[in-house]
Amino acid sequence: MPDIVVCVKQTVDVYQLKPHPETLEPVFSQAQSKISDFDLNALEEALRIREKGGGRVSVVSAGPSINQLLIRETLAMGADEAHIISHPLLSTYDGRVTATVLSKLVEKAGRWDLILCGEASLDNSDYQTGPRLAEIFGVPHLAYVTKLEISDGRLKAWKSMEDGLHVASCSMPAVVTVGLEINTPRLPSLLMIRAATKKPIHEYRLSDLGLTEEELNPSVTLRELKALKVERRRVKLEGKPEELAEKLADILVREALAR
Amino acid sequence: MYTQAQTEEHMMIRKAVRELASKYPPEYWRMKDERREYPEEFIRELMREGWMGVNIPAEYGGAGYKITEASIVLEELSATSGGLSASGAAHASFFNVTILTKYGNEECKKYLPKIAKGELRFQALAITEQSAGFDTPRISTLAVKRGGEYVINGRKVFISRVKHSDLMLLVARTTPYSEVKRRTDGITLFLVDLRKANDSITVREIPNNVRRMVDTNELIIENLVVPENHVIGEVGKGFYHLLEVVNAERIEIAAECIGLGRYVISRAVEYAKNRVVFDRPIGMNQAIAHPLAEAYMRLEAADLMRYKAAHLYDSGLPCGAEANMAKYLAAEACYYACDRAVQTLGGYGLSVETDIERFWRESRLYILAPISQEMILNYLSHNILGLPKSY
Repeated sequence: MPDIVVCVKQTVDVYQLKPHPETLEPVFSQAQSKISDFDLNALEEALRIREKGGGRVSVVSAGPSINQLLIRETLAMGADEAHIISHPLLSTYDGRVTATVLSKLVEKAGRWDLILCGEASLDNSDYQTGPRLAEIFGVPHLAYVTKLEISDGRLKAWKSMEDGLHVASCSMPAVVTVGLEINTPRLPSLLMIRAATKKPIHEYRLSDLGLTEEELNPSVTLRELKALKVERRRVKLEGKPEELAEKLADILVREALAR
Repeated sequence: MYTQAQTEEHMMIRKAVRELASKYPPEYWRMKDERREYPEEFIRELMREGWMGVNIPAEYGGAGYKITEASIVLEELSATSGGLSASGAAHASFFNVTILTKYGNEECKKYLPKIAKGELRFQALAITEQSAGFDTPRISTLAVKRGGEYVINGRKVFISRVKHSDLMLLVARTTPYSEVKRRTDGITLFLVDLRKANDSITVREIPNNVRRMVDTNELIIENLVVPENHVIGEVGKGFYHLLEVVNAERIEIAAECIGLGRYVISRAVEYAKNRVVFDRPIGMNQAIAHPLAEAYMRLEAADLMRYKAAHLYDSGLPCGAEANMAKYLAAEACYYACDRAVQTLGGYGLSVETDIERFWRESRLYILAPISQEMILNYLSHNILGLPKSY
């Protein structure tokens, strides 16, 4: 009966983001927030483990302004409880700060055997939270996991890597990071939505976690965020189809070599 | 006081329904419409995920919500490429269970857990007859008591979803019209298990080009035997019980119209922003923009009445006027929105590939059904304004 903590991040829905036509900066006001995609895969995996072997699934989340509705949705998917903190200084791009705060929330969640995280977040894609949490707690970390099994208190993980499939094993407690391939997150059912309203969301202040604002000062800061400007060449080729194919192939080869 | 404020639960319900419905792309609905097929796969998924139990009490396995939430589910279903067919394929269960829950005996209520779990469908409601129309007291389908059961004979017309339902709420006279003191007396509600009806009910589809995915039928009922314990409510008082079902129905249909209306406006607005004619987006022309703004405004106003009616219904308060007004206003607003969307998209608005023509067709239904706009005006003139009865 492993007790599992799942780290979820509230991000802007980058698929809705459009760059400002002049500044090329993303227009955040037009995009809604959501739970980062990979984190829902992590939660789904935790729920499947609980369905097979019991245990408790807690969700932890830290951010500048956590939308409780999104956390409630993770409870509607099946998580048992949530531990969250909102603080303006958490709008950071520093993975160290994020992992530090999350580790304190994990401690608030109580005893745990497994921490599941998305490999990376939808917005920053830094791939840092899982490894850093493993470092903080001094436990093994398995990354890029596409299949996970637990037997006799040990984890067995299948990892899809560029050079092939790795199968790794470790004891618990441990941290596992997953991507989209591992499962398809469930939609909350009506009865689970109803049940979610009665599940606890514990919200903390910084001092409740034994942290100070100084500890949230980032060592990495974001200087600029802009979309890449891509302009079409508007090249028109004319001629017979076979000649056009040749010309097109020449251009493509030349462009590829130029890179 | 009623409120339009959305709770966290409402927002989660909306999102979950939207995500479920998003699995069914426009191509699915186009194909169903063209083939005149019931959206079986879609309905099965709704059932499997427990959505038919939205307003069934928790003690019978449902979620225990009320009409407000049932209407939100239907609003979200219609605000998709499935339009009013998506919601109309599912909606009857939501209003039928209201009466089963309130007036059903324990024998009848045994069906509720199976409906909530999605194992049984309660999608048919048989009221109208050729000789009665909206004048329900004039129905002539007759149920005669014989020992511990009733034997029922008669004909019903325009009864939807019978081919896709296990259970049907049947309205019949237990005392003929000519023998009652009050014309609304002598009517009784029966829960009919269609799986056991065998040859007692002949179903003849009445094809139409408005809502082509959802069957509408004529029923010929011959010596249908219904056990006495399948009477819902009091014998002879069915008309009064029925008023509660139809109020729920009106509120739900209002919500469906609002859902589709908003969806169609969003589609038209998107088109109007991007379609360039005479070197500018057509949405820059007030002849395009103002009707869309007006449609939006009409829908928002109708939505207020829908929430007021739902609030009254859920509070157990009289809501006949509000439920009827909500249906009237929402049906008009939806039809207007669809019509203006057609006009905005021009030829594309009538092309099958944009779906707007289907939405426009389907939106016409609720100007007529389940009660005509004219009958609502009659009701308000007489019952609310106190004017002499005109019919």
